[in-house]
Amino acid sequence: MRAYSPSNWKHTGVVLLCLLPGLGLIILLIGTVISMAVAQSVGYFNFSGPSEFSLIYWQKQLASPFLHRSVLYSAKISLLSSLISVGLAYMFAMWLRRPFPGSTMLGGLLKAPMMVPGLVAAFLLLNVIAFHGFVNEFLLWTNIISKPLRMQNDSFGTAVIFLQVWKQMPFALLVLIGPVQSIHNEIFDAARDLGASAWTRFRKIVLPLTLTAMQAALILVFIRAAGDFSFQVIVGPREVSSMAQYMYTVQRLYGEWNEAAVVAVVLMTMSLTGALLLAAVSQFLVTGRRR
Amino acid sequence: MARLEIREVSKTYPNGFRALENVSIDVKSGEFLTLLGPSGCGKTTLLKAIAGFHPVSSGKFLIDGKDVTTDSPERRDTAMCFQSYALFPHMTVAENILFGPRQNRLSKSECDVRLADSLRQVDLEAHSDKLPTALSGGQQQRVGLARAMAMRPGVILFDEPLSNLDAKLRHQVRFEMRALQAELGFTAIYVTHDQAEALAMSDRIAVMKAGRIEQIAPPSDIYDRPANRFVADFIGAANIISAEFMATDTANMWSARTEIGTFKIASDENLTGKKRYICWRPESAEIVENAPTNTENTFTAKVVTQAYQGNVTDIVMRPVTDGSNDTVSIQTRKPETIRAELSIRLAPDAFSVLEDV
Ligand SMILES: Nc1ncnc2c1ncn2[C@@H]1O[C@H](COP(=O)(O)OP(=O)(O)O)[C@@H](O)[C@H]1O
Ligand SMILES: [Mg+2]
Repeated sequence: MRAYSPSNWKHTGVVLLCLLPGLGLIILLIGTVISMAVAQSVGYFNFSGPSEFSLIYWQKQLASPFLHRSVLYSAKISLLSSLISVGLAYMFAMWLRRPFPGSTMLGGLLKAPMMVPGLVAAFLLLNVIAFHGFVNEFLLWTNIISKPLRMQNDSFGTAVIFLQVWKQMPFALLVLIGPVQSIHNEIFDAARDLGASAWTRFRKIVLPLTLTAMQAALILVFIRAAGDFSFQVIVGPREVSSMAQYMYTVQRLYGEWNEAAVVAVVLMTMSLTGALLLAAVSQFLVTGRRR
Repeated sequence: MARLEIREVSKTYPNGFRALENVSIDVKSGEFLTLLGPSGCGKTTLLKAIAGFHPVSSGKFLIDGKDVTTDSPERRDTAMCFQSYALFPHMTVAENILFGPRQNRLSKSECDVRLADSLRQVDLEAHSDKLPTALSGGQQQRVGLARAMAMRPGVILFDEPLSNLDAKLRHQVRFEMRALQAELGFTAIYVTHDQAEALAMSDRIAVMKAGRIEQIAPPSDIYDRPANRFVADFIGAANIISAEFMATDTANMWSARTEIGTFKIASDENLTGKKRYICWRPESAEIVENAPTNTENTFTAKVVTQAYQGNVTDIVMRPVTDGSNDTVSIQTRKPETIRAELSIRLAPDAFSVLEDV
């Protein structure tokens, strides 16, 4: 190895200086937000009392059953949303792999949800599944049911997951379709010729060859779903909050800025670890089990 | 080893394009049959139909007498070697070769035997743990072959497997593949658009054009006795002229009038009064020194241009008796003098009689 001479240091310094306008801005923007949240969670930037170091906010929140429940709930919603979105995206990617009449239009239609704001979609869904929504009115009219069904704000969060998948699947598809399409047709023919079923071809050929894209899609969807507020507020369960919703409650209703910051840090940590865990597990499942 | 019968197969693609028209071939067990034809004539279409990748519009495939027309690819006793090799890029050489046996749930010991055999047959034992990208083109091609052979299929289908190799390697692999086929005795259907490859490797060649079979015959017959102008022209160089046959008194020997003179032509066919195309190969021309005029089966021509090839010389000549500007090609050992007038003799059996004019 080469020892660092002063001229090397100088060189490194110049490189860092050149990177500063771009990288510096990114670090500044991300760094300030994250460090603000962390600082606030341990007592600084206190709006209602003295700003000094304190672990009391962490102690309070970590002992709160509401936080625990919302962490688990958000993790569940994010996990299911990302798995279902990526699964569906794979199905569409395989279907749209080779062009057929109308495939371009179909691909475009599938991406439409990206253009519809989430809140609009949530209200549309509400119209469909509400107590006096289309579905109930139709079922009543056809005498299949005698009393409207309660479908919105179901305690599992099915409606939220549905909206998440609707909204995130196009992103996953966007990430996956290129890598899937780049697999040569003859590779599929070869696998088929050697006795691989459609499912085996997907598992042994498509998944390993698109692993990085799949991980990117899983991470993307997981993180986007973990921070959900609007879907949860409109169609989510009443008895449990998503983390973003809980954070809002802590800050708005109780005026606990510092505790809200604790929730924010927990949310960020959960997003990141959950996403990375998902990527690691998928890597293991796809490549680790190979004989 | 298996026998493959292709019976009156036609194929129309969904867009209405007729890619195969009534193709029938009977491939003997252990035979090396080549499908030869220009690009786009339907070779790959036929091969993929044999493999079962797409359905045919009409006709049948029989393997060892069993109708497999509606069987899916994995249920047919065939394995395919692809033009792009189609190796699984994320699997090692060994994993590629084992893919088929494992999909077919063969026992561990049987898998091991097949892997070892296949690796040895294509001489890749030292590379079994490498990824395909770490191999040369020729090695990748052999992995594709080994992967197909590990299935122990009755018929191996090759789609231009050597077209991505450089010329020298191609020559070498030709011999290796032929030797391997002879040793292991699989039936081979081999697609190529390279006539030299077809002539060098095949037991029989099926020449295709626009979805039809033009001629099926052993290489020497294809070359020496082409059935029509297309085959004559596609394989090697050929001089094709039209001829008017007259009645003849000698058995199997016919007099024919052409624009470069009158020739005696040997043929088993009854050609009395027929107008047919005939062809002769450049290398069958003999230069006759000091020939008296009107010697049988000779014509006089002037050297127009020539190309020295080392072992032979290609000479383009213009027959002096011919009113038109048509030229003929001959091949000699040594170059001649430009504009020299030469007497050229064509033996009666140098001619092939082709289709009607
Ligand atoms: N999926 C398809 N749909 C329509 N036409 C096709 C399709 N595949 C091939 N063809 C056409 O069929 C003809 C034969 O193709 P192919 O069998 O690949 O030729 P070859 O292998 O002899 O070069 C070509 O004219 C090609 O354009
Ligand atoms: Mg082809």
